[in-house]
Amino acid sequence: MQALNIEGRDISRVFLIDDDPSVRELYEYHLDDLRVDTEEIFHISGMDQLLNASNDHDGFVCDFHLNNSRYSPINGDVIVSSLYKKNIPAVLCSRDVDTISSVRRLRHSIPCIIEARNLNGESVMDAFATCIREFSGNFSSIRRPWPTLIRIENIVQESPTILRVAVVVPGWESQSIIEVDISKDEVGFCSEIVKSIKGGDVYRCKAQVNLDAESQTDIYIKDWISI
Amino acid sequence: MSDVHFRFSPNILVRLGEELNQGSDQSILELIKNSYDADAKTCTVELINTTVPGGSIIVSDDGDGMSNDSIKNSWLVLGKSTKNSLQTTRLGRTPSGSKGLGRLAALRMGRSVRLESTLENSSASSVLDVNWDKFDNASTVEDVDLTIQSLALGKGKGTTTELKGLRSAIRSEELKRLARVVLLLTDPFEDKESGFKVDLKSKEFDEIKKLLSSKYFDSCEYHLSASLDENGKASAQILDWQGKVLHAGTHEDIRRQKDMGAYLSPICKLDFWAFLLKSENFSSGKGVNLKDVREWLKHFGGVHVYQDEVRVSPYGGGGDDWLGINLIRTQNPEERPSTNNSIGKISLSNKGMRVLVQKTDRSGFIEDDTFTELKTFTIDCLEWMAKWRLLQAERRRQGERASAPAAATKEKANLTEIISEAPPRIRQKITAAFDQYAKSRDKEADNLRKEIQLYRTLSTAGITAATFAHESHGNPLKVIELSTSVLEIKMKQAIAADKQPIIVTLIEKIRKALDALSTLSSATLSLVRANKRRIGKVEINSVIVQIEKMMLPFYTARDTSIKLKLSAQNPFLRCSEAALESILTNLLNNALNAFRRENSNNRIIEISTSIDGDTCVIVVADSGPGISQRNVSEIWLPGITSDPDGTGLGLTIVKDTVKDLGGEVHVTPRGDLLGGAEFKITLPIIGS
Repeated sequence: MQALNIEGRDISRVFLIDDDPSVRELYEYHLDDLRVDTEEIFHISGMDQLLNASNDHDGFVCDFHLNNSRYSPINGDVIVSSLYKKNIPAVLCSRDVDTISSVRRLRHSIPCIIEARNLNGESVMDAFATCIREFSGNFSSIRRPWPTLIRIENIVQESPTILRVAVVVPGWESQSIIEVDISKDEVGFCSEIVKSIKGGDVYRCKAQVNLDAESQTDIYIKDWISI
Repeated sequence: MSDVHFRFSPNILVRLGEELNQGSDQSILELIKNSYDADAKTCTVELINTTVPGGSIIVSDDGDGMSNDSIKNSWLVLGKSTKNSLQTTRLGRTPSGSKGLGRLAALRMGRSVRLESTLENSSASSVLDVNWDKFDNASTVEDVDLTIQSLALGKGKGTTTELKGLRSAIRSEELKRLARVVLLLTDPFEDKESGFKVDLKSKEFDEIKKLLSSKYFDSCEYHLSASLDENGKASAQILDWQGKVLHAGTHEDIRRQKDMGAYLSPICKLDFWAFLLKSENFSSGKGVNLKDVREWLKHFGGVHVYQDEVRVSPYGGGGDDWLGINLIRTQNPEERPSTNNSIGKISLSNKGMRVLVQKTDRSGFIEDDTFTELKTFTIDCLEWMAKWRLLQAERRRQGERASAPAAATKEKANLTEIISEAPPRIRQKITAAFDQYAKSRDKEADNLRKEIQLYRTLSTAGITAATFAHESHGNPLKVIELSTSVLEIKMKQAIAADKQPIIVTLIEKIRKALDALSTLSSATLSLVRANKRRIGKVEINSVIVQIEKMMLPFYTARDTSIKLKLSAQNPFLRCSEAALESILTNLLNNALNAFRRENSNNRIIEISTSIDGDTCVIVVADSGPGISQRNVSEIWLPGITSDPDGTGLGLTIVKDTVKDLGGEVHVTPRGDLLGGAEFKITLPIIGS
């Protein structure tokens, strides 16, 4: 096997993550033409295991729904986002549109989601290239974050750790409602949001959003700031 | 140039005084807190002609008083506090005021202030007059000279502050609020005397004082008593009205966060009393009137916070629901308290490792991590109690279900005995009438039982369909998808180009089928999503558009087209999305089934919305064969269907749901629009 040079980085191995062994095997077939080593992950104990097992020359293809069985305690969005933060290219392979509002919380560190139908050597290589470019601060226009005003219009769901809200980002599209999860640990003014919405008002704050995103699926919202 | 310093424009007094002012009640409360901090035993608040502008307020106490120097170096210095929350006063009180900014807001209420303060065993009093108009005309604050005089007024120790020429009137509502906060200032939950008495001379005060002195804790249904220790570990008990323990929980039972970590908040104790405000709970000789309890809870309900036995505003104040318990109740009403039927307090001393800091404008604690943890602890405890109450309610319901037939048999025996005492002449008539009545009730009950059974079966089918949809939506579909792609790749490598088209066509067919399967499972999952059952703002047009999109594969497969003619306005109502969805999906299913039965070629469904005053009219019309039933009103009855494979419940659900939403539904068996059945639904809306 050989190493692929993507954006100046040699990628010689791709880890495959899915709780279904037959899907992992199918990933291998799809990456055949890349001629790099592929390695299945048979079980995940936590993020440390993946980070210890990988290096700068690795990439990951990862499914989204992983914690339904005993395969993994964490889902694919958390894995891909954590790898991204360690500058390891990773791509989420999911067809599940329903997961978007929960994925959006981490979408800023998940540059690419590939639907199973579009998975092949070329699409994975493109996704890795996007990741590696972003590691050096080179964002494509649809991924570049801009500080902007956010209008929170409704609370969709609330759990002890997460507040799922319906927001409008006027700087992106003033008519679209976007659902996004806010981590109560990361955003300190969740209680003010709840109070305001409960009182019949909207809540305005600021955040970083990729305002040039072409579709709602690609929108991310990060670094929330109260005003 | 040396010897220069910042100077302040008089505008700064307006900024700090008027703009930090939370309301006249909170301002006066600051002066009362000053008396508390001065170890006063009594504080009197006198209101003179305050119903119109220009009146006066006199706050006097028997506290330690201030010397000329204390007035100069402390009282007159704004923004600096000599009060330290870790240091207690001579009487062991923790100072409740701070920085003097709240006091400024109070002092600025009038056009002038007179301060008279006398130390113990002193023949002279320190007197200071402040005329705010002089500041308004000066260019800096320092330009106005103030004089502290020593006058022999013959007064005992203490301080009197007189605010003269009030800038605005004090409304009765504000007075009531003041009375409420004053009475709640020192922990009124305990029976012990606080050693600090506030005498507010107004009739509003007397009314509220009387209300507060009546304590109805004994009438509560449950008392939650929880605490947090120095290691941030929680424990809680649910007690009955006598204080007997009904249920106990450890940190692991209460903490809802998965890691079970400690709560990073100060040591504290939570007491919470939940009431069941039903007349039957107050009619059994407890000697307590439901109306009184309601009134008491209306004024004092909510969860208050006491730091060193002094209340911290605004928590638990009128209209303040800092824990969001009303929101939780709206979302999960069963067995959850609201601020109208519960009262509680959190007591903390705030002297440990983790400390809560109060905001400068006295509007509560700074909402940092420590405060958030305190809130989480409280909400977790309430949630723990709610879960236990739900469990009890379910047991109670099961018990009621089991005992219902036995109760009916007993009641019937009772009635028969009573009838037997009736004069023989009419006894037979009563018995016959009663038997007839019982028979019709039994029939009704039997129908209801059957209906419930049918709903249960359908619910189970729905839940199972959702589970299957969830499963198939994940891996099986993904495996087919990926395998098809691999087949396509391998086929292109292995098969000659002229043989490929037929396989490409087959692969396209598989993909089309996959798309349909995927939409079908998404639609099933979408219908059962939990947040759709929550009450909120629902936009009628957008629900219709979503349903049209969701049902696309269903009607495409049945060669049917849907036309939408939606109002240009945006009518909305307050309900659950599921309610509106169930009306529309059932009507669409009804039309699709009619097309199937009649094998008609022209298959069109039209959904239109229009606004008529405060209502939205939704018309669902189809080009099917219409309704052929002789008695059209029967279509709404459960089990009535012309489709042998149908449940006969769709239109019953439509009618019941429309009724729940306060609307009406009418049907035209063969309508003018498309010739088939035409359903017209009128729903009251709250806006458009």
